Amino acid sequence: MGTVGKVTGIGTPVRRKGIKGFLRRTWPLHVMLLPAVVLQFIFGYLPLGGLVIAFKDYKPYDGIWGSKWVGLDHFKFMFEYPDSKQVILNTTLIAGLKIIFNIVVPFCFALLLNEVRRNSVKRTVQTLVYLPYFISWVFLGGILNDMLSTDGIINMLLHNWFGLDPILFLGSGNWFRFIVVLTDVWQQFGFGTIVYLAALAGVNPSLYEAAEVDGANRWRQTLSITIPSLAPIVIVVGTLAIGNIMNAGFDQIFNLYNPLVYDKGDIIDTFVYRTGILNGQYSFGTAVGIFKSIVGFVLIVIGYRVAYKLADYKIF
Amino acid sequence: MYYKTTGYRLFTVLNYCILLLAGILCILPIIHILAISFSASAPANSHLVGLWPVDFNIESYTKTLNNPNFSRAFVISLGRTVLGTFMTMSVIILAGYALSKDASVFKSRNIYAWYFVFTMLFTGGMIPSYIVVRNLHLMDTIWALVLPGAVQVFNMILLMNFFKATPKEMEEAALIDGAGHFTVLFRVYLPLAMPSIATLSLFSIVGNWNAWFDGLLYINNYRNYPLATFLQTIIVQQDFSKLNPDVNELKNISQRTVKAAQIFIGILPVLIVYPFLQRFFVKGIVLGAIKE
Amino acid sequence: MQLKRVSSVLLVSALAFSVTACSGNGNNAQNEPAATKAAAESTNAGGNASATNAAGNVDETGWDGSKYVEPITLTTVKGIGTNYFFKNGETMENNVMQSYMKDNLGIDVKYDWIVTDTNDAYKTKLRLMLSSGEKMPDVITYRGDMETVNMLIDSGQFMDIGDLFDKYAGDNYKKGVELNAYTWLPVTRDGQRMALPVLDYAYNDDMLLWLRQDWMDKLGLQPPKTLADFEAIMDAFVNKDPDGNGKKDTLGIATGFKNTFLGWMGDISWLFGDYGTLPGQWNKSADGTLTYGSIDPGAKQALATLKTWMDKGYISKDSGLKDENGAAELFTKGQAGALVGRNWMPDWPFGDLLNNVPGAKYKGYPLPAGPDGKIGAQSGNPSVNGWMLINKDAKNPEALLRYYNFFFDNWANPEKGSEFENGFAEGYDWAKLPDGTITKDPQKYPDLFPDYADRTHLVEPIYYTLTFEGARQPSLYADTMSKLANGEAPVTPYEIQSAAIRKPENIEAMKIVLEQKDIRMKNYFQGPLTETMKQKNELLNKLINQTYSKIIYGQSPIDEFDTMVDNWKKSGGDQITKEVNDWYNSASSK
Repeated sequence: MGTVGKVTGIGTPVRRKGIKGFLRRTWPLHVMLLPAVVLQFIFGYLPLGGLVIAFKDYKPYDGIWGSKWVGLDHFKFMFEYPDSKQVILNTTLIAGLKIIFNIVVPFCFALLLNEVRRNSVKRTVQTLVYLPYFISWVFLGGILNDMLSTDGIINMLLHNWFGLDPILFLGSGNWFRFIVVLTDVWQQFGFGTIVYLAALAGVNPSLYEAAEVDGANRWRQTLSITIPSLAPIVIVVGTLAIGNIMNAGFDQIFNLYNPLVYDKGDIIDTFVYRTGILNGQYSFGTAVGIFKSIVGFVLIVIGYRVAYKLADYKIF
Repeated sequence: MYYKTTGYRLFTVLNYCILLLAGILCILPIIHILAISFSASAPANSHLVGLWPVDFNIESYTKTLNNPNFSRAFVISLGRTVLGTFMTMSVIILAGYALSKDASVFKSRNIYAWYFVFTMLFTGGMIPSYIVVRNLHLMDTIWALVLPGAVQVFNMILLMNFFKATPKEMEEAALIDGAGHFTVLFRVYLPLAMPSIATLSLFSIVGNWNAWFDGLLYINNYRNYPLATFLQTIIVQQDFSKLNPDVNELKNISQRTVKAAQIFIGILPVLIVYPFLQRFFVKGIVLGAIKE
Repeated sequence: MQLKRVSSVLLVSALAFSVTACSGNGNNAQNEPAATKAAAESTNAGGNASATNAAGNVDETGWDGSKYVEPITLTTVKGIGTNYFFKNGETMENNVMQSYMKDNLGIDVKYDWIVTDTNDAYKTKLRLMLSSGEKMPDVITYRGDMETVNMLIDSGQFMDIGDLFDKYAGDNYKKGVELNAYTWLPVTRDGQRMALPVLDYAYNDDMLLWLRQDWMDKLGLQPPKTLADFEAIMDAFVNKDPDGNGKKDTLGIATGFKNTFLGWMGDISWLFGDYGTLPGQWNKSADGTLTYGSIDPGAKQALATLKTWMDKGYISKDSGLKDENGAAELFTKGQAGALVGRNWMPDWPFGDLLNNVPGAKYKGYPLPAGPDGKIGAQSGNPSVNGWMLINKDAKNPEALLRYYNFFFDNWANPEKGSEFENGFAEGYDWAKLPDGTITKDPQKYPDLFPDYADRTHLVEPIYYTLTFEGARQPSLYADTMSKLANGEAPVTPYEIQSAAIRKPENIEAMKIVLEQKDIRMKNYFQGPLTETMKQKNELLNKLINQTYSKIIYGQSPIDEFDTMVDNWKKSGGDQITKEVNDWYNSASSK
């Protein structure tokens, strides 16, 4: 069991006298980072100048510098908007649930797949669960609308099996939230599973053999080898995911929502879409975007610190 | 052996049931989409197709494949996917390795790390990006499709963590032999990290294959679109709120079947490439075993 | 993993999140050659023109009455529609239309960029161009939302085309524009006309009632005159098992109001019209001021009626979740017995109905009148389907009008025996069989239609024109259809063609539309968004849509309507009403 720590990479590399000097010689590392740094500067940082329009009354034809400064007006407008509290609450709730389940479900699923000893089955299932990831929400929205309509297959089954009256799934707020989270997890969990399986593939089999010799049963092995091996990746994925707390999934909501569920299902992005795009309010949209990014960034910083404090693990 | 106990056998049965159920839940919509793509347009447009084609025909595929721009778009996409994946993987492998070094030996790593993480959240958006690409004179070149998205920060961080999880004994052995960072990376880390590299390559391949909006932005000649962009453009969500359509225009509107075929074409590389990449999962384990 | 995931719709909308532009000088380098070339060519043309001017009949622009003596260049950008098909070897830049216009009119059209125009691609590229300060081409033609047109106008890069129009527009074009007094309103700024309208056929988006005639016959029902009649019909459709499958699974009328109560298909606004108002638009009240239809007391009555329809199962329980396409599907899969839509629906999507339900028949009827005899339906707006803007710096701004004139005079309604009698070019969109008859079937006669890439579609060069489909005389379509409906024999090539391709139900429907044309209720507000609209439209629309849906679904009592009206007024509605009336007074005083 003592090797677990080393396998998962928690802790610092062992330093020895002979190689100390080599490790200090960091110029090759800078060279290795150079392409990424340069590319990211050009395509990531240069365009950031455009964010300045959040503080301007941007008119496309005036250009970014020609447009008038308005300071924090757009931010004020956002917070004073009568619906903004509700919309932010909806977003946080939906996104939060998605984040949690999008970690838990793939994690459990990867554990289950890990117990499959037949490689063909393992690979097939792994491929199958990845497929929903590729169906666009425009199309998926159509399928769900069919399935969940009052005379759709779901209501038909509920009626035949339990004698229930048709439920207007997408037309009632709580059902709507439930379905949004459920279908998102369904669509994404294959992706997450693959990441975890990649991590599991790196676990040294001799650890299990050693545990076997020690008389640990499979559950014991899962607890003391498999899960700790996955822990760092789960922490990384989880921390990065909370940066998404303001992104509840525009494509999905946009293709499923309707006026009946505005109060429970309207999120920041759909709200901005209705104001910004339809009326050409670019500056306002950018201001909201900055607000979302700041919240996400702060949460990632906090997550980073917490992970470091609690698990003694630096995620990046 | 643990898998011979009764308890574990029971679990295996249960486990297979769960996996089977999950597999069915994920494959049904795909079958539904396939059925639509092989149906006549009338029942498809009216949402009358279930899991089996209605009035079987392959028009949606022939229509797509017969388009004079299809093969060209296919080749462009292939090139873009190969080049893009190669670029992304090279960049993130190099950067991921450097970042996997501890701050105690590589002091500036934290600055680099935050430099990248920042861009995950703050992006300039479409128009500034467009201006950058244009001013670099990349418009209408394959580089406009490959370079802007080459640094996948999320994947880079994942890879960095996979590297961190790599046992350090071999690295140390190599270092004692006088190897440099590049040697250590290519001789020690890469072979050990094959499962993760295969996984991230897969993400990069499907990402490149299915990206369509950049083609629209950066390619000014529609005949040079990559496949995903091309496929997007043969489908229309017609909105006649402002338009008076022509009889001839109206005949072209049965697009639901084509859209279904398009989704299927988008999935294809996964079905083709993924099983191949999965072989590296086993290899990774074997290599890992050798070193102990 | 979602951080970087690019979502299609959001990306298109990314415009809103993040926009910048370099200063106006950051012109696209690659545009320069074209521009310089154009300049060079037109100087060239000018030089020649003055030379030939001595001969007498060439005007100062180098036009000799039928063509530019020295070809001029017109730069533009292009969104290729899905109806554009090319022969092998031909492209947007190089095709039979291009060379025809160059050879016969001396107008050489050059494209700065070309995009396949689906999913708003053309609009996106156009806005990008505008936002990044690129040089605009000589001509921009745009079809779609007014917001983009306003943005182009406000950019200040395009000219007031008023004088140009007065001086160069041909009679046919002028006649078409004058057909409606309000044609110029949307693009008028301080009395200046900032864009040229692309004309379309009139009455084409008027609404009428489509009924399943086979159900009507089976149940022995009479055509509806009033709303009460219609409700009786719907009741029979729902309860008397018209499709004969023994199940109570049919609907009265197909409608969907997920996005709007003023839809373009499966429309329900006519029910509001039966109570004297139309939702989502600005109607003229008795005292001559403009009022917003959605808050009219008539709307409350319409909602109450709609709620009873929902309760009785006349409309689908999912109507609140369906958009226009979703509504039409209820009809085309044979579930609903009625649908309110436009005259051309037999061509699409009713073909799907005939495919899905063997033996199905449909027929158009006038809209039924409300309890007080009131009746009203959308439309009545100018028959314009796009706008054309001309660059201030264009060397030959008048060339576009000459281009358009050519098609009005020769294409829109060609004489018998004239050049375009059968189509644009032989071997492209028509061919002559050995016995002299005209065919338009490339699949059957591959030899007569050489070099086709895809034989399932006719290659129609007319769509390659700058002006979308050559030219259309607004009154022609409706006039022809009513002529045909009255049993007159088709005479002109246009009439003969219409008789051949239009379905009888379509022709009949157009006659109904013309007969009921007095029920049209126009949207009187045609200006750009007002200041308060920009700030409050989202809030107010959300308030209305939410309240409407909840009332219909019984989630809110009907009196919630009055609270909504109060809120609407308080939250900016009153201010918007004032702004709209100010605009109307200033616009109509001219």
